[in-house]
Amino acid sequence: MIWLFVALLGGLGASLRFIADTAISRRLGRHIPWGTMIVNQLGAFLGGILLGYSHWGTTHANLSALLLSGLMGGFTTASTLAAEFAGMADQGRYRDAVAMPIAMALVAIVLALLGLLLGLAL
Amino acid sequence: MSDASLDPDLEPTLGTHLPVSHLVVVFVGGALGTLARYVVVKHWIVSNHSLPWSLVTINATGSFLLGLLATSFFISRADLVGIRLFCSTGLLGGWTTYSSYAVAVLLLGHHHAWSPALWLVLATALGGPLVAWLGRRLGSAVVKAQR
Repeated sequence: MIWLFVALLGGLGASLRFIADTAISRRLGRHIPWGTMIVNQLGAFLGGILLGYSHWGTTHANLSALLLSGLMGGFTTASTLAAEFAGMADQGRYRDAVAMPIAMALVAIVLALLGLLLGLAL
Repeated sequence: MSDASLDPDLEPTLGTHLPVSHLVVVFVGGALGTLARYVVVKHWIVSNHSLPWSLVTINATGSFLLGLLATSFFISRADLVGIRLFCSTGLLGGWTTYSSYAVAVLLLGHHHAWSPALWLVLATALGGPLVAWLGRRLGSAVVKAQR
């Protein structure tokens, strides 16, 4: 039955992303996809906390399924981010389209690492 | 192309409130996409020491499909906001994941699998936008061919 709760939490995560993305974009504009970027970074940080709390995924398997696969998986998105950067390239913003996803991918690792240290200490 | 069309996930008007019907379609799409990813990852066993092909495939297919839709269906049927949000924000947003990417990189590092970790970073940072861009090209080509 856990699959049902994974799915429902994924739906909840997607809804929260929709609300957050809309609210952030309303304030910061759409020239740069701040909403999707902030949501994904927050998700990477929370994912790191969970990885630490579960001792590198060796314990709390159900909690990880529910929160990492479900809630955080629904909350974060790789497709929107990729499509936004691809759209930037089509606008001729090649430097942003290449530099921003690289920066995003590296910042996400740093934030996940900080989350991991926090999670290991919990 | 205007900035407004850059993010297919957003409300077209960015009004002061989100219609409940839009939240519902995002919820349902997100639940279905998440469930599909959960099932695939559960049955596609990958080692802790090699590139997680399940994750790479999931994110690549989602990125490609969203790029494809963004230059074809989402433009030709811009009136169907509910369906766009269901597919883009819901289904594909739930299908793909960024948190698992960061977690997978840390796990690979934990197992000293530095080369797969680097490939995963490159696949996410450059591969994702590239396949989304290829999807956009295909979408444009399909629209052009239909005219």
